[in-house]
Order: sequence, then structure tokens, then C-alpha cells
Amino acid sequence: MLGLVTALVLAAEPSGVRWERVDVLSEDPGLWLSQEAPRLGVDALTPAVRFLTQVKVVWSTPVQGLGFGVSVESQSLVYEYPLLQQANVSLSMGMQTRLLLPRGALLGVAWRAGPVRVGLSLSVFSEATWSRVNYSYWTALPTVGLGFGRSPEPSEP
Amino acid sequence: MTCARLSLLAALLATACGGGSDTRPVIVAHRASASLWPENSRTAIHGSIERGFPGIEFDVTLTRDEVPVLAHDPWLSETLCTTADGAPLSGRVFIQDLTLEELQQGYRCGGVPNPDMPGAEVVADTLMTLDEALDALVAAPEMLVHVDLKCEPDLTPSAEAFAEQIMGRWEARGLPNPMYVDSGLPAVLDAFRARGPVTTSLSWPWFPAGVSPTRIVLDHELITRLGADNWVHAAKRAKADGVVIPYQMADEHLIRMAHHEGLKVQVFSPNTEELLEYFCDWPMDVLITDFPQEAPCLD
Repeated sequence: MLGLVTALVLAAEPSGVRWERVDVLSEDPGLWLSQEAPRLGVDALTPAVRFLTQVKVVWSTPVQGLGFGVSVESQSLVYEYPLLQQANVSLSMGMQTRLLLPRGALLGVAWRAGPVRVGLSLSVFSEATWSRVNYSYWTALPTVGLGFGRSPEPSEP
Repeated sequence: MTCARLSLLAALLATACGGGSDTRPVIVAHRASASLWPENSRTAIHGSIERGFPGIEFDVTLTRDEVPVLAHDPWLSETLCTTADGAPLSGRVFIQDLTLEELQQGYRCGGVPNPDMPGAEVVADTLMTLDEALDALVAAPEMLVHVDLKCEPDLTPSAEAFAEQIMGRWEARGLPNPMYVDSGLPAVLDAFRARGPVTTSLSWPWFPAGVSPTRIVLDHELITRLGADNWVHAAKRAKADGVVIPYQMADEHLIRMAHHEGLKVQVFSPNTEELLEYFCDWPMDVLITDFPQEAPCLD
């Protein structure tokens, strides 16, 4: 897994795609903190597996503010627009996919301090899968993200 | 669309209020309370009924003469069963290879301590027939009955034979108990529905004989997390009324989705006090455990 991530990072660099961070708590879909963490005390294995599957690697693209993230559970394309530049706060919005099947959206704010990024978002998603492309059931929940990585490139509002 | 909006609102409220459920799950005695008595045994069926557990789960397979008997596998357990004179089994004895008479004359089960359930009574007995279990259920007309079908290609008679023999007996008794049948194979559930009205549950994942259950659960957890499939979609494809899942794969979010899709959710088998206390507050419909006597949500 680590080897695969490293290979992807190295392959991406020359094309202008730049590794940015690893979100240890991902905002998409964002269920781990509310649904899995409380389970740690009674059944550690399931929340541990689900923790690993939501850890997301994020890359920035040559398009200013546009990045994409990949975890086992979700692949997302997120645009961040500087909101309060002095305070390092930006507006973030994006699309969530699962195995690249669109499943929902994300809207929130992100705050950066050096290598740390904290995000607060509203995550809206369906449970559509390729085996049953059904968008009849939707969930919306507030989510928290926590990532560590490179400081982003300076940007203009 | 209204449904979707309501679900969205319900999910938001559930999140804001920290989850929880309106009703607590029905407690079902797994293998008729394997922590107290030999699993699927005559003693266990009568004991569970006398203790007044809200629900009972037992496993059924067919003999060569197509008599339904209670057994967890299509073969006699090499750990829990012996020959009639108490000798260990030499090799795997398939129930479909024996008539009921041969089975009753030649073998006993439950007379060896169960290493997985050290507190359970040890009682050597012949396998109980479904007829006897249905006779016993007359005394518990409200008890929820979960019939786990041990029907596997090549190892047992056909799904059609299972449907005919089990549902024929159930209908002949006219028991008022709520009842559902469960199998990991959609074709088995199809055979039951083809015969007549019946409530079905899909067991997901299916645990075929000889494959590590841990490996199967991990594989299917990964499939679910990836979004390639999940147990709600599998149950809908199987046209089942419910879905039976191991507690390790339980996911509160998917349970709510299953309810939205009109499915009942049966979860097995949390067996510690902590797990039972934890899952008693979840919104699933049925909690199947070997320790029903220890469940805080036991009515």
C-alpha cells in the first residue's frame, strides 16, 4: 500500500500533480468519527479496518485550488477558494465518488496551519454502488477532517 | 423524492442527537442458546422455550429420506458428536447419506463439552427433528422463529426438497409464530418463495463449508467499503425480506438504509456482555446471540 502511494506520488510530480497531504480523518464520506469511533471500546477490529479504509491521500493539480483525494472508501475532487486569506481559511466544495461512481457532494471550510489542515464540512452522499446504481437514499452529516502534509502553494483570491 | 428528503432529515436528526433507536432489537437465542445447552439440541429447544426468550434460531438440514433435523452443518460435528456407543467420529459423516433411523440409531450429539461454550450443559442425545421442535413451539406461540437453512449444493438434498419438507411441516402445524427462513444462497430462498408465501432473509456474506469465516468477513467488509457491493443491495437483489449479517459487518448507516429499503436486519452473534449492551441500542430488528440471558434488552 505504502509502495503504491509512493509510486503514485513520484509518477504524478512531473505532470504538475503534486502530493499535498494525508487526511487521517477524511471528510468524505465522514462517517468514521460519529459511527465507528464509539465502537472502539467494545469491538476494536471493525473500527480499525474502517479507519484505514477512510484514510485519504490528497494531491493538488495544476489548476489553482483544485485537488483530488483517494481512499479505499471514496475518491473526491475538491476545489478550495481562499475565504479569509490572513487566517488561512478557505471555502471547500467537491464531488464524492466511490469506485469513480458519483455518489455525493461536500461543502465546507478548511483551515491550514503549516502542515496541518482541519476541515469542517457538510457531506451529502448516497449509497449507490456499481452493483446497484440507486440514488434513492441520501445521508447528510457534518464531518470533520484532519490532514497532515505539505504547506500548499501560495494562492490569490 | 419525499422519501429521500425524509431520510435526509432523519439522518440529520440522528446525527444531531447522537444516534440511538426508537425500539430495541428482539433477542433471538442462537442455536437455541448454545451458551446454556448443546447447540440445536432437544434440551436447548425446550430450555429456550421454558426460559421465555423472545426468539429462537436453529439450523435445519435434511436426512437421506428427506426428514428435516436440527444440525448446524450438513454433516455431524466431529467435535460435538460421537457414535451411539460414545466413540469419536472417524471422518466426516454427512447427514444426507443417512436415513433418520440410521442417524438416530448410530449417533449422539451434545455429549462432548463444547470448547467454544464451556459453560453449556453436556447432554448426549439424538438429533432433534423439526417435527419435534414444532411440537415444542406450541407452548410459545409468540416466539419469533428463525430457521437457518443448511442447504448446500452437493452436500445436501435440493433446495426444492428443503422448501417442500420444511414449509409443508410448518403449514401443516398452523403455528401462529412469526417465522422467517434464512440462507446465504439466493437460489435457496427462490425455491422457498416458489413454493408459497414465506418470509425470507439473505445471509450475507455466505459462509461456504471449509473457508475461514474471518477471511470471508474481511473480504466482504472490503467489498462494502470499496463500494463494489453491500449487504443491503445483495438482499434486494435476492428479493429477500431481510438480511442476516455478522455483527462485525454491522453498520448503523447501512441499517438505516436497509430499513428505508423495507428490509429487516438480523445481526449475529455478539456474545460478550459489552457487545450485547452496545448493540442493544442499535436500530437493528433482531439480535442473535448465544447468550440471550445476558442481553440487557431482553424483555
